[in-house]
Amino acid sequence: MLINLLKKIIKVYKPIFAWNLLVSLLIAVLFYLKGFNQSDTYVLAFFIKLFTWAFSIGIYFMFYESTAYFFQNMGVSIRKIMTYLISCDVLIFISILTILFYVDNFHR
Amino acid sequence: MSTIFIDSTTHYYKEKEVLSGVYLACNVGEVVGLLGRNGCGKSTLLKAIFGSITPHFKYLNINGKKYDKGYLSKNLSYLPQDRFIPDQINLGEAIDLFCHNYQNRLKEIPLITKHLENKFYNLSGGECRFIECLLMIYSNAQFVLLDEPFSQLSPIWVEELKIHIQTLKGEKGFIITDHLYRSILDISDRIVLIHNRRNYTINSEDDLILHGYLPGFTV
Repeated sequence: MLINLLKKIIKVYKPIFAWNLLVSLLIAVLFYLKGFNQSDTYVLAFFIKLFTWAFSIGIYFMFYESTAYFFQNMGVSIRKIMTYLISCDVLIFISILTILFYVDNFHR
Repeated sequence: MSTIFIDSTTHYYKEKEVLSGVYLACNVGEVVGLLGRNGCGKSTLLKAIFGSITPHFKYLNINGKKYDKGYLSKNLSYLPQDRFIPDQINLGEAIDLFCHNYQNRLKEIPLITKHLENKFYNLSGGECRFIECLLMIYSNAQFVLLDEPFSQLSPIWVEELKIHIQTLKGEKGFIITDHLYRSILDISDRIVLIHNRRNYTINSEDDLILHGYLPGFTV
């Protein structure tokens, strides 16, 4: 049920999801170049992600507001959808960084 | 008996009060027609029931349980005035999502069969409206709110929709608003008029004239 809902959310909000994924990959490049032992990179990454999520919410209200009824008719609130989207993005972001961390350590 | 009712609904748009203590109820097996002039608050009332807006005050009860947002009951479907199914979804998927319990009956309708694999952007405006109406009428929910279901539709499709609503009336409760008031009078068991921010029970067309919804009132 949850997987099915997630699939629908990603299908409908594909551009928003792709944009967040792109930013995650760019941050991963930043970590790759600067290394994982600098605290300012983490702070910068946090604020970039925060800005990206705020921007995504803005895009939703500009272009996707009419889709709210689609999900509400399934009994799902917009707040829940945003939570799922952001949680999914955080999970992917952490996974990318973890893989990169081990790849980086393996090479050094 | 399965019932939905909203009571004491009060809502403002900025300083302007559009609804003041409005009450509306609907039982399963009943079609309630909601009439009113443009801007009187009909759509606002439906949105307040569904939960897509939060009125300043309301008491919403579905089958004996209080809800803040009607859609959280998962027993309420709402057809908004504008298209609401995203372009990326095809008709077959939409049927699986909303009309699981009635999918066999829905798939007997020729227009549905014809477009089963099509995405919504391949449909004309009228086809899209008709199909969205059918999806909500045949949805799994026990209560259906239809906001101007007949707009953009040719007369033959309006008549067809009325037949579908009558067919499912025994199993569901419908609240319908539209400016094609003749069609609303035809299919409704009860008529409620929203006027001067309040609800009025309408017993005959004369009442609609009396309350200024239809022309013809003379002193």
